[in-house]
Amino acid sequence: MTTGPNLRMTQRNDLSDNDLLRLMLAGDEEALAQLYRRRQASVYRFALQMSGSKSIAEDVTQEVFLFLMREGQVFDPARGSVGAFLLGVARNYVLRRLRVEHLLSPLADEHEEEQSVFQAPADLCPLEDLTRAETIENVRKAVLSLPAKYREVVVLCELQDVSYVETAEILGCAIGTVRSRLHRARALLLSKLRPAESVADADSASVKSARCFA
Amino acid sequence: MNCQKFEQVVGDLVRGRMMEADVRAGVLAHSEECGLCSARLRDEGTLTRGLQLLAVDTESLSAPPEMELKLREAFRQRQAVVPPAATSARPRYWWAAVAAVLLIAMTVAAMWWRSATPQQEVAREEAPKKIEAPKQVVAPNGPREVAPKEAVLNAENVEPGRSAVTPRPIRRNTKPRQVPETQLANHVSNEIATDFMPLGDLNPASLQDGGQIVRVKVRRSTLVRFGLPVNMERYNENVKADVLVGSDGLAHAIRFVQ
Repeated sequence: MTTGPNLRMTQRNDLSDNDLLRLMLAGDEEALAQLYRRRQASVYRFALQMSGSKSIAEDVTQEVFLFLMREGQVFDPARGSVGAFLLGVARNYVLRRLRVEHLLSPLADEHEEEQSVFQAPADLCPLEDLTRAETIENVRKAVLSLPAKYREVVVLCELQDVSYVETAEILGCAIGTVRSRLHRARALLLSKLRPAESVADADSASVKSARCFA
Repeated sequence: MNCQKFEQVVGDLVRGRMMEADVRAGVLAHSEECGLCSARLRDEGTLTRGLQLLAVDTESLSAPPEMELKLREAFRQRQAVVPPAATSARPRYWWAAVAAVLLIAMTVAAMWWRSATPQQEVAREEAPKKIEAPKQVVAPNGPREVAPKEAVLNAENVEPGRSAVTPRPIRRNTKPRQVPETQLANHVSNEIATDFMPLGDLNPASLQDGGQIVRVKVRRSTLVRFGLPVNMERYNENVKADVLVGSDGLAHAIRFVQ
């Protein structure tokens, strides 16, 4: 038999983000916790992929939810989902932070630190693991070197798999603008990655055939 | 399909976005024919795979667990400081509305006070005149008689053809004015007035509906028209008179004051 608090927790799990936000604004702490658990990862990843800095990502995530506590009533369901709203707030905080700190590229030490956070699948052979890690690192550098307006569409559409419509809501622009920026961003990424990829492809292809398919 | 159209849709193709089957077939067919577009398709595919790898690698990342505790703590502190009802926007709007209404009310009151002040000053200036005027209705024992009997002209002195009936001065405001008795006494002793004499064919009885006494100055020669004696040496001087104006705005009667 379900006890009272468990029942309440079960009910909260079934609630929409809008309902949780409404409860949170009415003073329900568990609603805040539930909403945080649902949405913190996407906010954190967005901030991390935009800034390349773990500390900035943590700060931004915290600021976003503190903002939600303070100014949550400004959310308008007619203008989009709670998730899009939070990512929009996160975007503003990230851009502000980057402007303030002039961090348009990640710091080297943090970059190294975060590299250890990424986990590779265990079923890959060491060389594939190395190649994969190298590819990821190159792509990550290329993404972080993009101008902010291109970086954010790549992070949202390519890395967070957000739809064009939601991306337009988050960025406050038209869908056509999202598409054109994404197109331009991919072209920039290709130009940045082409030399490295061609060399890496050539090397990895020869070694891969020697090691993995031997 | 040409290279330009290929360029437009190649991104959606490699990212697995929905597109029409014939467009997809056209893109693939064009990439087999065109070397540049074939290389572009390969590059786009490589880029998409790289981005997918990056997305998969960061997929498991999330904020540190202690952040939830910090946020809960901040939430509790906030609830302790600010009650939930005060966090909503509506009360804030109510306060703004109340402040706006108060501001408007104060502005209106200030404007009203400014406009009322000159009227009060005029009223204050006129007040002594009214007291000086022979408003007999305020007399405690009689409604209108203030002049001594010996000074009052008889009905025989009234111009022939005019009624000798003296109309009662009736004020619109029936509430007796509180005038000090000493002031009234001074007034009675200072002025001598004739009885009211009707003007033209107006019915003095209509004054029962209300009226007003207006103090005016007229030429002393006017006295002649009412059969009153005139000192010819002071023929061009003015003499004070009370005109009884009815509720219809017409002058009904007149008396002369000395």
